[in-house]
Amino acid sequence: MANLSMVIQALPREAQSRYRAAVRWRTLDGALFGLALFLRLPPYCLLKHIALAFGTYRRCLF
Amino acid sequence: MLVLILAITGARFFAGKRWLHLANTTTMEGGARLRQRLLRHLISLPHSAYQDLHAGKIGQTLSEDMLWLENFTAQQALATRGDLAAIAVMLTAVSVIAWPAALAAAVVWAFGLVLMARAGTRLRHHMRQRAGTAATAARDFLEYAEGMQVMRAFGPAGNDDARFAENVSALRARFNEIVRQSTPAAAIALGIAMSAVATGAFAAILFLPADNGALRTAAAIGLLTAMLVPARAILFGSNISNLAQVATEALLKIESTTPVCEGRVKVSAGPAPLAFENVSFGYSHDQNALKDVSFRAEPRTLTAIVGPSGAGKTSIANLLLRFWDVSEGRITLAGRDIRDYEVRSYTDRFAPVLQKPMLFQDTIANNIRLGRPDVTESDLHAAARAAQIHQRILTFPDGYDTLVGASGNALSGGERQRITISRAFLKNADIVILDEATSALDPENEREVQLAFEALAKGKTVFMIAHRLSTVVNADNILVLDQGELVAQGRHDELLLTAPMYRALWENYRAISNWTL
Repeated sequence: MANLSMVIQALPREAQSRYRAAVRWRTLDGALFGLALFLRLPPYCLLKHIALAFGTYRRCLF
Repeated sequence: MLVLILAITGARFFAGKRWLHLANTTTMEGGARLRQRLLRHLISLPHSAYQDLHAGKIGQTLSEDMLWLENFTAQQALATRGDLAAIAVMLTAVSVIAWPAALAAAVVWAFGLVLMARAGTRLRHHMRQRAGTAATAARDFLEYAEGMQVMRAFGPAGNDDARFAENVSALRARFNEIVRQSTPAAAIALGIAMSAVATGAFAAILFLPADNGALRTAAAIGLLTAMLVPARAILFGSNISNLAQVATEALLKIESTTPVCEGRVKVSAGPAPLAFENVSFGYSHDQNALKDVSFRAEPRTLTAIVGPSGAGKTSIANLLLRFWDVSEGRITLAGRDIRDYEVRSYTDRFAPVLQKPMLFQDTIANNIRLGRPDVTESDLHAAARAAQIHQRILTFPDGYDTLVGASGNALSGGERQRITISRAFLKNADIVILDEATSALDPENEREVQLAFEALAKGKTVFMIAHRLSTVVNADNILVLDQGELVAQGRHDELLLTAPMYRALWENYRAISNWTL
């Protein structure tokens, strides 16, 4: 999506690569945001989820 | 856990700082370059292109459209990337905990994206229409602002007033239409995004094993609900993406307009003859402004162009300056078709002083320096001195740094004219075009402008378009035009004997000169 912008196409190659670096940093920022939202779940549940994911927890409390 | 959350916060702070700095600096640089590229392209266009690309549209593209595009590039495009990454991470987490929930939510969101894309197509259609209306309104508002003095003197014209009101209400209607179209689409998309939570939960209940399904379902609901944050951001940002897409279309439309025919030959230095060879030309397909016109101008001669209003005098200047290209025949410089030359190298040979002196809202010095920003101050003063305006400029409080106001309104007609003559002096081109330049001046200004013209024309090839025949009596060749046809050419004395039309013009001019009130 970002590559389509005429504004970036008007730049020399070196500046275009700086913009691509900005895109990468923003993607990392978004991924960390997703991770942070995931961690914001109650820690009790989180531990359960991790345990469930690795198949070590087999019995439901509910 | 706390350490992990702190580490993520720190990493996000660092990443945020980096992307904000890199994205904004590169976008600002790219925006400036793109505007310059567009401006250069606009200069290279034939005047026929400006029948579609009026001032309002150009202004709208270079300001509003560019701003949307910059906003999209620096913020929205990256924000969408980041939000998609956040969704990807969380969807991965959901798929590990409760894969049926992740699959169901992904299917619902994919359906939502298709609906959004369809709504976006409709929305962009309305955005294009709004942009067209805004450009027309901008053109009319400019005209309104420029004609303010006339309207104050004569009172607001009924039609202009009505047109102003029409423009305002048309803009409001277009904007309302966009809101009307986008609000339900956004509500439906948001509804779909939210329904993904319920669908995911339902799928998890259906497909997960009974022993630990409830806990995994609860976790999936928590995550899917949290995913609404980035999903909503993508949804609300889609309007900026649509506006940027419409802006890109407008920019591409300007860039795809064909410039004047550009040759590869550089014009060689030194005086050279100019000739019209059977030239016909029309501003529209159905009517010719010039019909089969042929003449030749030797270097360092004065060619005067006379004729009644609408005879085609200014068309000759327009063709010489390559504002337009001929429909038939050819114009040659040094025996070569002018379309073979590089436009810049060709137009560099000309110093035009046009009928309406065009000044930009800048200092007097910068208006004189136009196109030659590197000239020394002494050259600048010499040009102004030669154009009989130096002393007058020194009387202004800020001298050469005086701002001339919008379209040079802070100066009198004669002063504006002499500043444009200074510009022509500074260019020091060997072909000069003077277009009816003294017709609206008072006697004092006319005398000074006339002196400036004489100095400018010395040793140059000159084309002079004038109604005041006293200025063309000494011309080496006088072209007499009538309804686009060259009806006679020659020197003054010859034409008085052989050309009835010229004789009539001359007698008419003499009679007007003797008028007294």
